[in-house]
Amino acid sequence: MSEPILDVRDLNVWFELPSGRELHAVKGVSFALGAGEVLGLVGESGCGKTTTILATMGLLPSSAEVSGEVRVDGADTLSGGEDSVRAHRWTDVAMVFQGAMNCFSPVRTIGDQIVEPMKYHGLAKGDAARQRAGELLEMVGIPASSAQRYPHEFSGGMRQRAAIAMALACDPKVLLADEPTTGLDVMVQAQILELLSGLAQSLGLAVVLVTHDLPVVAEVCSRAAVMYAGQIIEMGAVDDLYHDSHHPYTRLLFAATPSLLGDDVVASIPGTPPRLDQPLTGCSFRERCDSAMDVCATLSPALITVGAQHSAACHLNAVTSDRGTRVALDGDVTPEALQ
Amino acid sequence: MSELDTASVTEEQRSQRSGLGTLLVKHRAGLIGGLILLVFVILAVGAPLFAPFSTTTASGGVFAPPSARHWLGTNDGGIDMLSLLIQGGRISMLVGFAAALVAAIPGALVGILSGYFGGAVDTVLMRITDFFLVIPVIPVMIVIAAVWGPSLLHLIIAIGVLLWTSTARVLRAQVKTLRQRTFVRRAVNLGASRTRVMTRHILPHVAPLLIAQTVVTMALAIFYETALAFLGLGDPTAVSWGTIIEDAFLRTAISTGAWWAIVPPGLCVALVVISAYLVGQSIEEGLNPRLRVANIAPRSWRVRPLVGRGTEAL
Amino acid sequence: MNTRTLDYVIKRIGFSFLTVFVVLTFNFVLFRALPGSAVTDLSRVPNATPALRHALAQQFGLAQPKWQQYFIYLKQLAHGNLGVSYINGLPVWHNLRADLFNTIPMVGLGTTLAIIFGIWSGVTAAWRWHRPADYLLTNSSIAFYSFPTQWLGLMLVLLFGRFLPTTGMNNAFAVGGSTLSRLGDTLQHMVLPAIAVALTLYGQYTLVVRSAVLEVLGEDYVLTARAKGLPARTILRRYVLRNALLPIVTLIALSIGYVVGGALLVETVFTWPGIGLAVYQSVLSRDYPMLQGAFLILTLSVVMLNLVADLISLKLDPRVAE
Repeated sequence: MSEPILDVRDLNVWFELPSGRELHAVKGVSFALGAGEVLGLVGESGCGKTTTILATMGLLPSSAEVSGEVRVDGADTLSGGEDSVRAHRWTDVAMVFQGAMNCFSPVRTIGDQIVEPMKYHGLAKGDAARQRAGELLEMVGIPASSAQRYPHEFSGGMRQRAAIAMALACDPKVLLADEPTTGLDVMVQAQILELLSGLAQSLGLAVVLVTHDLPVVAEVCSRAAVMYAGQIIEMGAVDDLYHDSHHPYTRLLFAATPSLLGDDVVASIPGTPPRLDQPLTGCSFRERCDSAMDVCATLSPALITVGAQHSAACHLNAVTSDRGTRVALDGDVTPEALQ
Repeated sequence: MSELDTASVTEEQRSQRSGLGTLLVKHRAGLIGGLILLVFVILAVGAPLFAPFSTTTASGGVFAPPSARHWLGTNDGGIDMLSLLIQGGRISMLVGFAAALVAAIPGALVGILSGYFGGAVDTVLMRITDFFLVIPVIPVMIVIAAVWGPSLLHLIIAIGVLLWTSTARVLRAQVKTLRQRTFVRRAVNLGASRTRVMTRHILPHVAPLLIAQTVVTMALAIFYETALAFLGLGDPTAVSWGTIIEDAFLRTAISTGAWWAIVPPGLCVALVVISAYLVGQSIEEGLNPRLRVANIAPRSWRVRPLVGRGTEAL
Repeated sequence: MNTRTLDYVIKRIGFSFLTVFVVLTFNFVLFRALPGSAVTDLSRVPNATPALRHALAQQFGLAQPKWQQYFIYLKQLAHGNLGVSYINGLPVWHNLRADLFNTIPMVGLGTTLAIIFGIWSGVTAAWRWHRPADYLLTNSSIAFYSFPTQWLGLMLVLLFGRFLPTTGMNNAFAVGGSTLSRLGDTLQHMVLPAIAVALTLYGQYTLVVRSAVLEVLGEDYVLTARAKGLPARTILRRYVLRNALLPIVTLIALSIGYVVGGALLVETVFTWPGIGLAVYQSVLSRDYPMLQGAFLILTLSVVMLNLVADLISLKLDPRVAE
């Protein structure tokens, strides 16, 4: 891939809990995407995917600690803390929240709230700004005149589109979408997804789509990363994840999605994810894995390349793969230990 | 046990296991409040035992300042303030408690019926509640007590009749959520009569909340009793914290600089109110813990410097 | 104004009228219809000469059945006739009008102070949630909320009686002097009672504001505002405060009854010649027409203020009309 627009390297997020303990919510997450790409970020609730993209924009609470690098179009945004990342917000990286959430203040008009970041970042003001807001609304399929309305006058689907319009107000390079279709009905979901992928193509936006809904990933994303217990355990082309998965979790996850046509037994993964406020040895998925080996209890698997643009973190791969390129998580894994 | 009971028993048991005791322990503030209240109750109940001097005959000089003998000095009649205070606590807490009980009845009824039935019943009852909320409490109490005549009973009813609204609202909110819970719906589906569902299934679950509200109402009632007694509407023969303040005011304790006749009763009322508030808050927080998030805060998140990880290239 | 808003306004006004009507009726029932009733049981009128009794009987139509008395009562009210004081023989409204104009500035000052400081404390406490500043402000608010109002007044007298006047509205012995000096004198007398009113309300307002702001701080649109790159101060002003304003106004409106009660007690302690003191004195002297009139005015003011608060909330939040 040519120079990535969004490059996240070894991102870690810790939360300080009221009890005094520390929760390691995101463990060494790395991914990169280029212009026009849509990357899916998948996993069950609590796996850290939302925290990951919030951290990308520095939208963390005061109890959080962060390490790692986030580069937007080459510029390092994270290491300077809240103040340095604030300069890149909305102009370089913008975000769309869950469909059911209200990202609009109920006491101001939609138009006002779309114009606001334009004015603040100096991109446009007055009539020009209002004009552009209208254009953005049209682009997402809403009549420009509804800019004068209040959020509660919009339906859920329309509000979500308006949220996308608002996110594009300052011409960002990256769009982070956190479960943008959750809480919306199926027809509306399809429209939103179509909108997002269309925008990625036409505007050259790099989009990270966080979701727990696998068919969504199949529909819109070219690549996806699967997260479990704060780590990326597999990443690659969506086709590969579906048909050539190299991690038991990925396999079970995709198998758990009931097919609309067939009458497969709905498989679910028994058990629950591990607690992240306690130190973990070995593979985090071990307890629920159907192919766990002895080594899984003592050694945490590193993310290894298992194919073209395809990596997975599982000891099963190290045993069978003969290539040893590592993208290190913790540098303790040696070839000898795996024999 | 009928089929009705066995069907819902497991879920109910599970949710009732965290009783009042465990809840209070989790919250230090509530525990302290509870202790303070307990002390006051004990003092009130055993007032004659605890009061060092008589409350009707003089045992010291007029407006004598605090001394080793009279810890809180004496009032204008030479009567020991500490004894007055302890004795006064009795009436104050009695009126408070009784008024709170009086208020608990419409509070619980309106809250449960409104929350359970919803619809027209809810709208009507809530309108009535709104009406009572708009009414200024003290003037109405004054008018009732003035017209009816000064007596403790009238005071209790006048106060109780106006303080039920917050209980009603709080209970209504909880009953509405309870109604959606599985064990309630199961009971309804199994054909339980409405009264039965309300008394056997819902009432036990709102009981802790009702108690929390009643404790707070009691404190408010004492607060208002003090006000009414101050205005001369209480029983003139009874000694309560309110009448002590009234006496001090009327009998020039201020110009004499006899702060000991004024400060302690107010502090007592305040202590009881604060304690009741803390206990009530504690119970309510324990029952419905609110998960609060701050999406923006003065302090920002921090960057953790990477500790050396050997040969790891950055 | 769209139809839904109009609907809402009409409904609220209607509710207020209904409340007023119920209050009037309650007033009538309490004072006139109950057995041994204070107003019409002429044997309870102190110092009643036969002439006065006759006049009263005529005025209230005591010979007629209760429901007719009720209509006479309503008709009299429509003409602004609130009866005649037992004590000074003057019309009740005449006495109360002056009192009302004395109460409003003092209570107004106290309430304004309480609102300003309450909002400041509440916002600060919420912003510094679970930090020392929060605990300090919250606990002191709970304390102030718990002290009996009259006691707070008395404490102020005890502590500051040396520096500021504590009785009445004017220095009774100051003769002549310019309007300005008399105004200054009145203001001096107003300080302590206004502070007493403010202290009574401040605690409650702080807690209410803090709770409202905390609620808003957890809303998604605040996170969105932050995501837009806006600075903290702008977010606080435009998103947090602006949205917390509605619950704050609502809760302050609910406290109006409490304000009235507090004013009553404060006026009694400081002998401030307002409508609260009038209530107190009429209770003492069993001047029932005065009591009835004062009560009516007080309750009506509360209902009206609540209506005003309702209409303000409508302006603050477009969703209210739904």
